[in-house]
Amino acid sequence: MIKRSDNSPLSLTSSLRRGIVIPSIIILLVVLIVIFSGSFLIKDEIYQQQLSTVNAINREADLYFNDVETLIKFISEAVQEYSSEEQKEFLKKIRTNYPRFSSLYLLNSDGIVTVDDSEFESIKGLDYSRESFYLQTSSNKNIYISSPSISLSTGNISIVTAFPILKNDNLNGIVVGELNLTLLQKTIEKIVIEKDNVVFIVDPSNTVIVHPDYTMVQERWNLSNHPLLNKKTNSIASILSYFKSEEFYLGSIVEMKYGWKVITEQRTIDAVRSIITLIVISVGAFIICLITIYFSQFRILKSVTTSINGFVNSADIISKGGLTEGFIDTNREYSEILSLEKSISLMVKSIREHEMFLENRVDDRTKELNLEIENRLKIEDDLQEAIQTQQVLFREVNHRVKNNLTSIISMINKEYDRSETSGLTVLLPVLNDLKNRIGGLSRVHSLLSESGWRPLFLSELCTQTILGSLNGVDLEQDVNLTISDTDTRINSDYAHNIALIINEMVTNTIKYGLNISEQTRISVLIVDDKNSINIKYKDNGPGFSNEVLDGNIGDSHIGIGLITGIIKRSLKGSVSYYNDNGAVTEINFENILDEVITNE
Amino acid sequence: MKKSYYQILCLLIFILTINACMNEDPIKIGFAVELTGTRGNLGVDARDGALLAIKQINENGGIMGHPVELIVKDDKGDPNTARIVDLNLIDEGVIAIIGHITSSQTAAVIDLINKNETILFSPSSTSSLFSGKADYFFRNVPSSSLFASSTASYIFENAGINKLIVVFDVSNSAFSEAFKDVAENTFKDLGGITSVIYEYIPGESDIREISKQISNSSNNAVLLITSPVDTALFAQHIRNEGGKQVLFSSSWAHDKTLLEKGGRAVEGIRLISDGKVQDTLESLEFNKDFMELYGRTPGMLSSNSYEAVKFITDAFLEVKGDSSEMPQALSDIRNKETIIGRISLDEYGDVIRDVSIFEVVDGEFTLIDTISPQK
Repeated sequence: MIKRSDNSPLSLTSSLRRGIVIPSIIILLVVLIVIFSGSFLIKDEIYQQQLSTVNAINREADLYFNDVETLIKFISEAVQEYSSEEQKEFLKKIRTNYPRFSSLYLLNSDGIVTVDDSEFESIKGLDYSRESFYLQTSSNKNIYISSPSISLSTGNISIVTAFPILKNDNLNGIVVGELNLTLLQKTIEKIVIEKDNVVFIVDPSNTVIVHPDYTMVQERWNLSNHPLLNKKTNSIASILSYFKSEEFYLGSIVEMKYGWKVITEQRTIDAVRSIITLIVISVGAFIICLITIYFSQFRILKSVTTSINGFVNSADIISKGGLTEGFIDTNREYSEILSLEKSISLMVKSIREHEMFLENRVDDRTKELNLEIENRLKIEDDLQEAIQTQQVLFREVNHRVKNNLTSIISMINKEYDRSETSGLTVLLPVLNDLKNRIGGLSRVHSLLSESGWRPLFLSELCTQTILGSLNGVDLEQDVNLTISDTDTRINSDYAHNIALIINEMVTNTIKYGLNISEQTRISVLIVDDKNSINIKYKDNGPGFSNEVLDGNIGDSHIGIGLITGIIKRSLKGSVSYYNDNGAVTEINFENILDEVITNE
Repeated sequence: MKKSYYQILCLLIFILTINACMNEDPIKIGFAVELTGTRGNLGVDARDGALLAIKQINENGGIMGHPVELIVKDDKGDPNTARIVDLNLIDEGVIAIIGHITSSQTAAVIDLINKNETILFSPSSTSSLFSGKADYFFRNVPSSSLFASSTASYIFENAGINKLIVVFDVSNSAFSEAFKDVAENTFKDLGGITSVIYEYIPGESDIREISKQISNSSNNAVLLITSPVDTALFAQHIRNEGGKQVLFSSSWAHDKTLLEKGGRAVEGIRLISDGKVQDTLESLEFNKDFMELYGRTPGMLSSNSYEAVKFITDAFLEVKGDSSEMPQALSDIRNKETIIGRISLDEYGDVIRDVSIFEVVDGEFTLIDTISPQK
């Protein structure tokens, strides 16, 4: 029986193998740790970005639907006071001012359409008693939001919101508003979405409501198979591989009102590419290690065999008396083994250096990412603080201006009373005019500050200004007011000046037009084009005096002078005064700059 | 040494196998229907039924180890778009196309699919224009001529009506005109008269005016060969105008949309269709799965589309992936148990099966009678 000694060639190969296998396994482990920690950091960063986008969209959509809910509740209460003809006009007006509704109509308690706001094909009389929105609303007596479906009134994809009209807790009817999904889409698109980031909203049945690719909404795609929707959780981040099987996604999901969900997913091409590269390198390195081991085994066996042969030869030579030559050969083989050992040590050293280098890279990158996240959070906090401060200051300024104007009016009132008591009647009309003008300024200021100094609807501005001016005087009779409807909005500068002009014109009507026997009528006709506006203010009073018609505006016509001055100097427009069964003031603004007027 | 090389070789094979598994090519099936517009409800229901079938097939390991992918296209109810989307699907290498919903789109692509030797399998095109031809067109619904003649016979013989007003949608003339012609001829042969025929164009014709004329006429029955939405609207307007006529419709309107949009006005409306007659374990299972996945009940075409996918994948499996043999495999289908009943196909790819008479009662389609193909 032959026993294998510790110095046998096989034992030598095993120790060499251990010397290479163990470092290569360590390298592989290090590489894997790098891959996983790197991917975790990348994933976390993208998730944080996504979460802020999702939350922003959630806030925006919440606002949108809070408005819708408030409005439809308001309609359900308001319509009870009106006749059916008034209801129709009311619905039309609401829809004009709130274009998020593409159609508004009322059902009676049996589900029959009693009033609709349609301008083309009326749906009045249609029976909706088997539509889910009727069945749900009439049984739950609460707001109902449907999944997207095709509207019979518009032919477009829309979401139906329905709210019951209750009388003593009994169903008296239902208000139905069909939501324009393209507008919701635009509202959400306002939020900046980073490149390769897809954000969409699904309803409780997982049907798409908002999606960057609007055909997904039109074709009513159901995304129940989406990995995030399968997870049934409110807020998670995970790697997805859903839409395109060979691309990976990082996704996040937030549940919002009515069981809807906002989902963000980002193609993690760069992240995945780095991970795959690292995997390929590590697997490659591992394979090279294995090949090296096997080839070295071969080399060592060959050299050991050669050595044994050498020994045998040497012994043979020694036995034959040729000692020197045999020892020379053995030394050469030994030096080859030493050289091989040296190169293996060098290789191990180089791998360790590379491992150190990779660890350093990961540390550096982690520090950079932490610093970047800190900076971003700080900037966000600063911005929030600045916005809040600005809002407080803005409110304070508005409040103070309004208080000052009210104080001035009080002072004028006191002067008026004093003058009246002292018999200085000549000052009374002057003080009254002054009070009206400052009152006008105050109303305009209130309107603009309430709207946050954003562009105002011209028709709304005219209505509010005229009603405000008329409310300031004691009228013996109702005034019949007609103002044409327009989508045009004007910026705060223009709004301010136009309100002053309207105020002056109403003051004139009150002064000269209210003493006639028939009912006072005021009409404002607004004709607008892309860059021009024509406003025709007309009353049924005695008309302008010949002085005004001839253009002789002296000191006795301060109001007319003021109107002309504002129009020509401040607004660069033109004005004409003439009589047509009453006084007519026609104002023209041509070539208005785009930033002044909007039709959206 | 040999052992070392053997180990390296195994490692390489392992890596290549993983790589091959990750890039497994899917078997593609095209799906082209009308998804948008007022008639899009039918298409959406059909698509969702087909997607459910694909999901179930993939969950069970796909076909021959490959996943199945449904490539969905919207033909927008337009013949030209139908041709374009079908060409795109053929370019993408689909093994068959499921579509179209309306016969007009199917008629527009028949030559194209025959030329490209690609199977077109319709879950709803019933026009008799496609019957009796050995080509690449297949369907799992019977030809409309059977529906049309059965409807006319039923109106004359069972309902006792001999004077009829017909409204048909010319935008889907491949179905509705053929249906109208067969129904009119059958009705005349039996001794009846079709007194007025209205050609209706969705979005252009004045539906209120036609309904007003119908309700004012002395005829006591109307046959509506229009889509579910339009049939619902006609019924509503006729009833609103005080019309008391008995209403019949074509199989086209056999969909839940008719019930939802028609309200109480569609009560009593009768139609002849191939809808399933009674619930089976499989059809109940399908309804449950559909509800779970989409949160709503399936439409009439959901089940037809679901089965259309099964017909194609079964045939593909039968011929072991040789697409050129699929037409033969489909033509050989006999007495196949499906969730829409037992179905056989003849050598022309036409369906041989019973049809049923339904009436809307309390907002549901209620079965009145069943007619066998020989009748």
